[in-house]
Amino acid sequence: MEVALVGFGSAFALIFMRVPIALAMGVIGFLGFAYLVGWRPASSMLAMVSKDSTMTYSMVVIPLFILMGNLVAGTGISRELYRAAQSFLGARKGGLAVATVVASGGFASICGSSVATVVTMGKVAMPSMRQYGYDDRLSTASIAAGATLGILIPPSVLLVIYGIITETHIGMLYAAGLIPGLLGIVLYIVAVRWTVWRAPDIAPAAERADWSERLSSLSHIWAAVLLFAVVIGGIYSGFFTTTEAAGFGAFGALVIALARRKLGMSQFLDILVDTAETTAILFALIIGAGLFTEFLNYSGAHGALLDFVTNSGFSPALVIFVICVIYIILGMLMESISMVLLTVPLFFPVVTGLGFDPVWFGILLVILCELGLITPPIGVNLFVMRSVTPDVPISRIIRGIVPFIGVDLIRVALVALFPAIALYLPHLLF
Amino acid sequence: MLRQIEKAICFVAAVLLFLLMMLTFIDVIGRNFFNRPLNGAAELTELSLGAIVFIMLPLIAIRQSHIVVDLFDFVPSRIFKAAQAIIGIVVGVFFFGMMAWRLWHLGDSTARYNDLTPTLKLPIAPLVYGMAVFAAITAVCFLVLGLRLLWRPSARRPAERGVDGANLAPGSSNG
Repeated sequence: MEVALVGFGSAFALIFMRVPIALAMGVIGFLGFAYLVGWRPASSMLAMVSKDSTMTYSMVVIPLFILMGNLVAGTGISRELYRAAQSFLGARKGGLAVATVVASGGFASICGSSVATVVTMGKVAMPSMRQYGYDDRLSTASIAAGATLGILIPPSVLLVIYGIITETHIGMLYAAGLIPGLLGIVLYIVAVRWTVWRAPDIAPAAERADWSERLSSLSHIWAAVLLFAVVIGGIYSGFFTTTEAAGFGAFGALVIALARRKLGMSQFLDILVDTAETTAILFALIIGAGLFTEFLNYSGAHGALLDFVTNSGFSPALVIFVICVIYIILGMLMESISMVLLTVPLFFPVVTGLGFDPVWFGILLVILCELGLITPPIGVNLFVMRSVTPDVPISRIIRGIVPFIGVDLIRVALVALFPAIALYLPHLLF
Repeated sequence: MLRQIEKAICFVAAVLLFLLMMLTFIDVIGRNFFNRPLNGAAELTELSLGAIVFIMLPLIAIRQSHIVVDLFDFVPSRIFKAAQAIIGIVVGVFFFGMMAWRLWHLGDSTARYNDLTPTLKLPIAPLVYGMAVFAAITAVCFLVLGLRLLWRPSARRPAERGVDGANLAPGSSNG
């Protein structure tokens, strides 16, 4: 237990000294394992983990879903998605912000990256909201918050990574993410309405679109929506395995991109290289986390922690509460995937040891990660939003995001207290 | 010269990724619609995934695309930044150096036992040797990068990009 504590301490020290998180975890995992078991087994473990983390069939899902997202996102769908949301939802007071939340959520689900969503929706939605006199505080916050939904609504890469490292059924995770993701959209809309109710001047009404406009706006997005439905539906119905769905989805996205005549050879090459780079970044993290996990497992830390928790007489609910608080704090300081890879090997055995459902815990964890994307001081989405709209001070963005943080906390509480929100669909389907 | 190498590496990774996608797609269609999965598709995808990751590792080191936490970037001290750069060199060189050395050994034993993929009987050892070579190159990259940062701390890349699935650096996206 003490060894594990020293290990966590040193890993965090390296991370805060700006060492790449992947390397910090890898080096500490390797050295810790060498300390506990010996130099020779640690050396062969290093080679095995490095090779096996990359050469695993189930891992192929990761590059393929990233590629699918990059292909769909790279062909201008964000503008059309926003137009569709705007023509259906934009007319009421605050309606454009609601449309922004929905379009950002939809775009983020397809492309899978909240950062890319903030950048693209920032370019698309900000000018429109400014034109109608929306306050920057509400506009920036609805983009930054809406973009977080992509890491929960399938196909989510974060859920795949959680599924692989904990050996939890990825199809069930994808089924479980849907309702909490939609709940997130609803609650963000509540946050928009609350903001508008508090200060009605910041979101004037826009003109109403008629039905022909609405239908024509749909004609541009149906293909992407259909692809999304086939991929997710294929996984839910058991027609596809996750890997097959990812391969089908990536190819389908390529077909859509070609059919829209918006994809040149050099752009396609850029998208492939971008995807390969992201893949390598993620796998560096997965290798590092794999080494760190071997070390943690050998140190027996999670067993000791579980013993401590069960013997101390804490109620399981209190343990979940404490874990949530830890994640909220970590989420303020760290990026989501690293946070998951670093902590899940320790917490997962404790949580499941207390009898909680692994699928439910995964969803709860991802919602906490979403929250981490918008909580200062290190809320990635806030900074990316700032870089997209350099004329809006960060303090203004943070003031706007507070109601969205509030409803995210409500969502964490709801999913924690009523696991059925997450578990109803997977139990129905699998 | 270096730029050409970088371009060539990117191109190889892009082609491998494209093949990976096509393999998976053909396999899915064959299996689900014609009841004839592609022979050996799974092992080919595994091999190409391993190759893609390792040939990109030197590149993401040089481009500073690894995910870092820059919580203390506001500290103006040059000594502090130099300390960060030195720690970065030590950790990067040690980690990837060890990895290269041990992967080379693994390659030796893989070659000795003549490990083959299950269906197509492709030898695995060359790939493991290749991984070792690219891990070694990555270690050199961390050394070069660290020295450059020591010399010129302003070359450090701000870490505002988070990777949470897809990687479109701010500004590079045109969606």
